[in-house]
Amino acid sequence: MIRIFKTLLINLTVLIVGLILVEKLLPVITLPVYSERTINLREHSPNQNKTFTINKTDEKINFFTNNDGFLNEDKNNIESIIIFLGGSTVENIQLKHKDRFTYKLQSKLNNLGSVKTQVLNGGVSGSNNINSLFSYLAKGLKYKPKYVFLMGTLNDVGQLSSYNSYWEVDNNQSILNSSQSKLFLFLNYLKTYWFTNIYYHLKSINLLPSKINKNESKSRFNDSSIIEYIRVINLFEKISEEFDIKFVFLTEPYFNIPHQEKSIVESLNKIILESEVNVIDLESLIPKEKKYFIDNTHLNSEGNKLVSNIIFEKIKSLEQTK
Amino acid sequence: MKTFKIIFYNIIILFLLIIIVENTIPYLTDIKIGRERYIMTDEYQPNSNLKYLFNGEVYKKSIDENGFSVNNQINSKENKKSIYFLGSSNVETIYVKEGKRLSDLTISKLNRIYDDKFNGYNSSKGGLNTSHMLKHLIFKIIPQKPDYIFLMPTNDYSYLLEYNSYNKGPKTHFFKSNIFHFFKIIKDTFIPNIYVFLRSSIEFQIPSLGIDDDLRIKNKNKIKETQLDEFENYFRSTIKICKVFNIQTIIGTQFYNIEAVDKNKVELSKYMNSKINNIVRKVSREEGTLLLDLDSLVPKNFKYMYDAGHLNELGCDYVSDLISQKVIDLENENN
Repeated sequence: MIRIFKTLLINLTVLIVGLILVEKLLPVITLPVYSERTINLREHSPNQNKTFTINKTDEKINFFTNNDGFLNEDKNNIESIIIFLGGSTVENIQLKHKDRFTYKLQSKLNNLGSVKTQVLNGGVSGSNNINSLFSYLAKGLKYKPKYVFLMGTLNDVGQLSSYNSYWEVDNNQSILNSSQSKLFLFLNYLKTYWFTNIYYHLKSINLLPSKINKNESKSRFNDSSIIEYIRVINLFEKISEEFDIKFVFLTEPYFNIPHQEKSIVESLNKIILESEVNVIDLESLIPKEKKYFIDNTHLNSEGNKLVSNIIFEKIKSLEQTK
Repeated sequence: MKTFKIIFYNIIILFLLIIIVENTIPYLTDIKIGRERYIMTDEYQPNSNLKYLFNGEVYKKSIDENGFSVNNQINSKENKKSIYFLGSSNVETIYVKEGKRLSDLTISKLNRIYDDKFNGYNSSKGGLNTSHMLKHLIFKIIPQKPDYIFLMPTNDYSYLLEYNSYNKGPKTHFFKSNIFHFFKIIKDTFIPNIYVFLRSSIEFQIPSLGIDDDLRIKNKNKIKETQLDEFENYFRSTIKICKVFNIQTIIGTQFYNIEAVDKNKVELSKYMNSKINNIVRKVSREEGTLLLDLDSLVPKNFKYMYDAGHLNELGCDYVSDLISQKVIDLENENN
């Protein structure tokens, strides 16, 4: 038995050493053709159905995604699709799915009775607008939605303040997945795809250190960041226009944010409102009152109800003008 | 030997335990937040130098850190105007010697006139269609702040004919994680060269694989039913995005070599080419973009192409004259 094991071990070692030698010698003849780089698709894992408990309230939340990672059930016989993209303020993961504005809007539209509509919630916590753009291109367009709504200001301001450009972002909101070493990518792969639960569990109980941006106080947000922010929203608009999809941008409501961030958000909202982009100014329409918010930026059930009413009215008016 | 055995057993037990804990956690606490899918870049490996054989000749290709094919003898690091080339194999012109390719010659000619004012970057890759071009434009060309883009759509008709949509079939943008992905990661991490050698020794040695998809007509019956709306949507979106980012765009129509096309397929080739090119012409006119009607300008014979759709050295020289002249016109206009 030991002899067989020994022979196997020697053979395996020789094979591996042989492979390594060939691998290292081959670049003399040719080098890799196929890129290791991939574009970050920020989405929830498709086809999930889990229940989790909110720490603060002990409330049980049923969490499910469809086969494209939208926070919806797969449904048949849908005649019209509306997609919402953005970060956690669209996602509303801390609320029961029936309390989210996307679900409430869907109910209102279906109560009108004429067309069976599904409102897809593509919000992913932390996503910026270019993350949402790639989701839109890769998995949104194929649904041929009638409307696409984008809500994205606060994450963008935060990230552009640190990195100045969407293409410079170097964390899990980056456009490309790889600027790291192969070994890092391999270990990261194991973490992301094989040991996801252990990683997130350790992270959620604060056993893993989180990266702290040392330059947090020095904002890198400047005129070029503004131009980039506006242009990315324009990309959404141009692509939607071309695919005959109505694009609507939603300014992001908040209860309270730091002064410096607030002044940037206000200036961006002003530019967007003055542009030709179709906008619903939720930031000014949702009162900055505690009764609508869970925390400083996330809406509660009451806030979601208000948002769904506002968007419902907007869709009705857009339908009437057609 | 005993120590090795103990270590070996321990590693196996540890690994099994980790897997058990990993799979048990979702039942105890949290939701699964893993990212199972990503979007493929459809580009060459950045920072690589390619060498391969084709018809007995060795062809070289250098890829820079951003995944663009570059000629370092022509490009310099100084702050210059940039031209990006976007398309499939007929813009890539891979089977032409380095320095004589379409992008190389265009830049060389411009630099002779403008005293080394231009750098050229080629993002093209065999098999790409217009949906890939849109993706390339956003993820890697826009951040380079280009001055000009030359783009030529190809491979669209055959793909839409076969799959009806860019969101279906083998060239969609997703990659979903599965057990093959796991082996792929191991392969990419530990033995990328062996894999590429094995693959390239097959792929690059068979000339027929170098022919663009649009020239391989498989399903003749469906040709006239093919819907090209999606092509127009993606193509026009690409043009509009260039406008948003103030990039001067030169669009080329697709050309082919009638002498190399099977006699039974000449009419079909003409039909497919004209359908796509008519959309390109229409969009270009409506969006006010500069058009280079290569379909009518490039002679359709073996003098300029080595197969049914790929330029040879003389063809590259001819087309680069046309592109560089368009750039000169735009430069003069801007001044």
